[in-house]
Amino acid sequence: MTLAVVLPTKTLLITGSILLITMLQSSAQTRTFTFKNCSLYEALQTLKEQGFRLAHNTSLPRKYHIDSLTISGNTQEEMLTQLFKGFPFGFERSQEFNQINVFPDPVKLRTPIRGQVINEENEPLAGANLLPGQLPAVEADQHGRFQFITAKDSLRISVTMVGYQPREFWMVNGKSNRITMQRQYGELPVTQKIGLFPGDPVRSPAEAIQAKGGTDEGALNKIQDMLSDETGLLVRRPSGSPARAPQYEMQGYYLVNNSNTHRNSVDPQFLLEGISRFDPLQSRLLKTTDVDSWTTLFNNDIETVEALRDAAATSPYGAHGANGMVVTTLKKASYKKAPTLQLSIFQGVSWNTGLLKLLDTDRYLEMRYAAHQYAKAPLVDYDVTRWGNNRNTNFPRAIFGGITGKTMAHLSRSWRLQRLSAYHSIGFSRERYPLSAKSVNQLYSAYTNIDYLAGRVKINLSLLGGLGTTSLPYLDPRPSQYFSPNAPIEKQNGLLVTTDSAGTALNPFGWQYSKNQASGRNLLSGLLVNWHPAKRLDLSLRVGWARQQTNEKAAVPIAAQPAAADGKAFAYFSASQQRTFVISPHADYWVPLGDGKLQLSIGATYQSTRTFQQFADSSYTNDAALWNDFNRSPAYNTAYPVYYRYAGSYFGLTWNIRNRLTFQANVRQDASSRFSAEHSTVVFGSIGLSYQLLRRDTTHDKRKVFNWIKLRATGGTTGSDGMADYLYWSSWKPGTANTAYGGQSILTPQTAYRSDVRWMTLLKLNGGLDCKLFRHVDLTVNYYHNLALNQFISITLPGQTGSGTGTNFDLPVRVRNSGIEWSLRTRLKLTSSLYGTVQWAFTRPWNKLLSAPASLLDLIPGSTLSTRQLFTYLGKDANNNFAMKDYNGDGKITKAADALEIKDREIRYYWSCAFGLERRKSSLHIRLAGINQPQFTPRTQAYVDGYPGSHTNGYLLNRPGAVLDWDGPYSAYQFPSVNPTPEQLKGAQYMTGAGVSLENVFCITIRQIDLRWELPSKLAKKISAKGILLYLQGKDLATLSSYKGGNPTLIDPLGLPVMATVGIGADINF
Amino acid sequence: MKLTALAILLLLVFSTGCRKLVEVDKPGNLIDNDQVFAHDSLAEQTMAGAYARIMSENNLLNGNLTKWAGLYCDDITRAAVSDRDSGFLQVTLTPAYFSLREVWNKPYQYIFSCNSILEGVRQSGKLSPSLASQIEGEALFLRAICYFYLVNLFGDVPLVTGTNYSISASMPRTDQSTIYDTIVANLTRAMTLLPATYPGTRAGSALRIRANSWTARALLSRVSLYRQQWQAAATNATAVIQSGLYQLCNKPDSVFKYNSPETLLQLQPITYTAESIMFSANQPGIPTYEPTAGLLSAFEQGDLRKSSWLPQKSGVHVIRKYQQTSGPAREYNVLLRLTELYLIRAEALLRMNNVQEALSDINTVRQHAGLLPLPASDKNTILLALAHERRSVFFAELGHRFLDLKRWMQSPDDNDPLKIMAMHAMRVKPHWNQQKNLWPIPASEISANNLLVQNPGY
Repeated sequence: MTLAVVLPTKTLLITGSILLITMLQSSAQTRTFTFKNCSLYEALQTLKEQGFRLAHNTSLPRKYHIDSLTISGNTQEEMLTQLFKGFPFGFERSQEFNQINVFPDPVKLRTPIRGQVINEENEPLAGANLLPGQLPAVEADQHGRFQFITAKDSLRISVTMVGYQPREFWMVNGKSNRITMQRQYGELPVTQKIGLFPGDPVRSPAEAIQAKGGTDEGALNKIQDMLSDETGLLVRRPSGSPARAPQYEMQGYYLVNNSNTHRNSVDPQFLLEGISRFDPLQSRLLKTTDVDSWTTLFNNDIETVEALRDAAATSPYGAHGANGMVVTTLKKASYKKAPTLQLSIFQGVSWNTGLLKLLDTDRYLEMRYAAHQYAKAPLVDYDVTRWGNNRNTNFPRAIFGGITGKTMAHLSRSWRLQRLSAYHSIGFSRERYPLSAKSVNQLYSAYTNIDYLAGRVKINLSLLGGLGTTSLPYLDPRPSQYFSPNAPIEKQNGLLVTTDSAGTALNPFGWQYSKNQASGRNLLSGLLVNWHPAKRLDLSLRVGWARQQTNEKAAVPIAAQPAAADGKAFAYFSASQQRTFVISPHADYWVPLGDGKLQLSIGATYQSTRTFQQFADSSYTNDAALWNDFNRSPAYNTAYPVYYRYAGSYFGLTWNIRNRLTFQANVRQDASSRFSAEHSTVVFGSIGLSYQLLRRDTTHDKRKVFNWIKLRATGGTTGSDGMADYLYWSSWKPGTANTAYGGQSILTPQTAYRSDVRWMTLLKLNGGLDCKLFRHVDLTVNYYHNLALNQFISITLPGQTGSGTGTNFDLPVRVRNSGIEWSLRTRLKLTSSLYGTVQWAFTRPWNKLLSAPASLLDLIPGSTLSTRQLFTYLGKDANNNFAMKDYNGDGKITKAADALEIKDREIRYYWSCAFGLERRKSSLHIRLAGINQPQFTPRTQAYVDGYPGSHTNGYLLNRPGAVLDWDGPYSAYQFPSVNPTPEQLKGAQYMTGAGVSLENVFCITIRQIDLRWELPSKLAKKISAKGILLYLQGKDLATLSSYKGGNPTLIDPLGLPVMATVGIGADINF
Repeated sequence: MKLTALAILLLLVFSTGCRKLVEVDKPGNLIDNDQVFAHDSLAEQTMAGAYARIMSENNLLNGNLTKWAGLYCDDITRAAVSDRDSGFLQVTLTPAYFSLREVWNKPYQYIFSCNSILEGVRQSGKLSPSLASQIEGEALFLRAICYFYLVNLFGDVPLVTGTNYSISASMPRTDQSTIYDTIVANLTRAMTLLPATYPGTRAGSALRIRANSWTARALLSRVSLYRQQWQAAATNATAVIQSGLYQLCNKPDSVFKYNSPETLLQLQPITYTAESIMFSANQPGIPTYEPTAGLLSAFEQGDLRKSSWLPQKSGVHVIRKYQQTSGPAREYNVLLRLTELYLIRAEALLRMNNVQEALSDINTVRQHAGLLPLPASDKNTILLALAHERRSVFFAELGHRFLDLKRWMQSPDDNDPLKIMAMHAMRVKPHWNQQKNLWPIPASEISANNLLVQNPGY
């Protein structure tokens, strides 16, 4: 159809189109336009072509049809007023840009779509969030009512309310639109949760992690930093090494000892909600070891992180939640359609603060000479002059510190198409650690979450994959025992080195310097199906599958090692792979009971994990060969795969009375392959009660002191199978061909198994008060009392067990962990544009070892030494009391001896606080932490008559504040043999580890200071960015303490030092 | 209705149990204990493994006792200073002395093997009765000999008879007499369990590399002697001597050979015996370990044992009971031999005042060393002659000399000539006193199990 209207002055003829536009010009100033059978959008386009500078949303005007309309006037405004008369749009001239902005005019819209949100008891739900597609979100008022001003007849909205299951709802104009929300029992009011929640003014991840900068770090570090401000969860760094993951210690499960292999038994479990539950593999994503320090997770993809502790809260998670859970929830589709690209760049300078003093060559020789003299032994002297000016073996400044840089790019996008919605992201990050040698951590990650909603069924699929590489020099804090006195000495990479007889370069008195490289690949996938078949019934099924592969290699790059085929002198390879499958069905059903409702939950979990380990020597010359070997048969692996299986079933009931009193009871049965059939299955139970003394006040009455008070208490048992696989299993190992006896093949028994190994059982009691004061202050007071009935700890078995010399193995102990903790957080509006935030967390634990194997009378944190061992080592004074010896008479030992009086042998208290000041465009944040704990001080020892490789024999000379153990000379150059008297030996004869003494340490750390500016949007727009944030950041700037042995906040005072960093960074959002 | 359905579902979930679900495959490189003791062929390998374990490393029963107990008394010495030996040589052991840990730990590792076998055999019920009793007897014997040396070196020691480390880790020291009672009971039981012939080995039944009932009886005889139960010692020794299976070698050269008719039990080395390596001269003429001057001068003129076992090389006497360091192994590590039974019987008879028969046994031994028979004499003279004979026979062999000296010192009679002689012999060590007859419990052990109380004097 073609229409043509001829006009006096000008005629436009458009063929092939459904419209014909006529413009009339009645005078020089007056213009006339006629629109027929076209959309408003097309009309606007035509006007634009005629010189109208219009800015409008492209899609909205398409929906309005013009049958026939003529407009005329002298000005554009005049004509537009006529045009929009019948349509819900307004306009205004923007002087700034010399254009006319067209926008939807709510006044002209049709009758709003109204509705009400209620719960199942027909009570209005004030504050429910309603999110329509394109319109701004609204909240339900105190009657649960709300309205949307929209031109549409119907609207699809998402309704969310804390404590209720989120819902999607089609609202139709003219209908009553009553939305009934079902209570969500996953979020139990019985328990206290700690961590990061959305909507929390102070610690919302959206604010704290994303918007306000600091996105320079990986999720690992950020979550660590955020959680470290919490009560109840202690995050400590083992050392200052950038790739060393923090140790998370859920208060109430204090480690009896600190051996790496047994930490799992008391660590909180990390899981990625929504991908797959109950997966021990997950922990490796957030909590990594030395070398596999990549993580496939970006903090931009994280929605919430929360920590659960008490028996009732962790009961649904079964055995893996026995010591608490840290649950990370990843993002799902939102209404934001535009792709978001975030770039973060940080450049800074790092330097050493708590530098551990190493003994220099002269002082070492002086000590050694003194030791010989004291033992009346002749001294073979070193030719000191050979060392020249290189006798200072302290950390060369050049090794630690320097330029540090971080780059991160993260692209995410979410979309929605009918019932399908999805979130996708890809990320890249690269960090360079401030060490002299190349040390870079790179990771690539991709995450996808797809939701399909079909009536009563919702299907969610998530995939998280990533790969990363880490290259980090490893500094071994031990002088080489292969040191030869006549070897040449030179400096390499800032380290003083010598060479052994094989030509391997080694650092004689300082730190052994080797290179570690690691790379890994992860793929995790999860499928979650929710089905709501009947009014009161909800069913869900989770299926998860994960595969993680890790490849590590280490070498001494400064050594003159023969280069491998690929030119890299890697001496050692290892690789491990883990594959996990999890399936977990769950059902919820509720019935009215009394004044409330009773919800019944039933669920089960089955997990199967296979772990492969491959160790190899230098015969592997490159990564690819090692990877490929995994794809061959498992028999190829030198170590056979380890199988782990877990099955659990769960039954819980929750009785909620008037949304005020909640009673909860859980029973669960767990079975694990780590126990014999006789002991594999075990039943745990818990109960909980909470009461809202004062219900949440929504009136915002300024006169009220308390706005909300909740009392809660839970108690129950949980259990953990966090121990070695096959520990229960009595088995025999065939000998090799050349170990036959009398022509017969042989079998050798495997030692140190326990056929009676059982679940570690924890009895947990928890009580607390949560309240809101003065409308802005959140206060929590909590008391916990946990009894580990048979916590497994690693101790050295005596030889009489037949397991060889110094074998570490598990034995159960009873530990009581109790403590009180409180936290306060507030965000105050100081002036109209200035906000202040304060956070304060304090914990005072009382821990006691109630019973233990004979060798462990008492234990000291951070050490495998028992108190008794330490005392024995320290010796007794004239009154037969244990005392430390003051070897050099400087009086320091007295202080250390005081520390031993601490009955708990435990961190006595710790606190953290954060202050913030925020204006609209800029902010200043300061975070401090304090700790009061016994800490070890490294000491230097010199031995005489020491057998190579052992410290057990010989005279010890001990100096505080210096370096570590001297491993004794190589056999080719032995110390002269002497026969020290028993008196001389007294100090040394029980010495089994590195030289340390114990001090009580108090310290305050300035953990982080941030100064941030948000650049004006005008500037941002110039580079088409949504926003630019610049920040000046200082981290670990200072530690105020009298402690001399390095950084007192570290678990391992002999580890790499903490580096202070100051730098400038920018976050740019596109 | 729905509630009922739910209740049924609940019941199902909880009653089906998860035991089946969590059964896992075991690593393919290990064999399950139950499976091992369900098959004769596998069960037999466990015992072979126990012997092989002893011979796969230097340890108390393979070289170390010979070396360290020998250095500790007037048996052997060494010129060059060594940290690993000096504590023994100079009798300056301290609890922290490194080498002590090996002395303590290794026997307990073999005891663990024996306990594993004993538990496996007793719980099994699937093995053929003859094999089950043979293995049980062998394990009892091997455990008994380990405890015998532990008790003699350390005094009271923990008596571990199970494999559960949660129990054994915190066991205190058991009274010596209780351990001896256990040894005697175990050996008595082993004698009934073990066959009189040597358990068959695939390499040939001629080998005496596994215990039979006579070896158990021979050890029982020695234990009785150590406990001063003369009658029992004599009776058991007589039974072994009259068994007809064993003959004294006419030439000392062949005593330690794999086919020696004198042997009651000899362990097959993986390569060569520890002693042959240990006592060989690493440089021409300068062996690490030498016989003491006292030992060299103690031999009578014409004693074949001196010329065979202490030959002169470059003017220095070398300990060469075991000589072989090349070629296929023809010398096995002898733990028990017939000569000892003659001397046990002689000593027991002497103590029971049967001088005549005792002298006859001593002379039998002398005769095989190319010496003339001793004339009849009074008891005390013959006792000293016996001690002299024991020294000549058992020098540098499994610590016999040290244990003999200790044993003789325990005589209640202060005028006992052997007691006086033993006290005198030990005085060559200036640091020695009676408390040093027991070695200290290693410090690492007390550290790992504080129920262990240190021996007096350390």
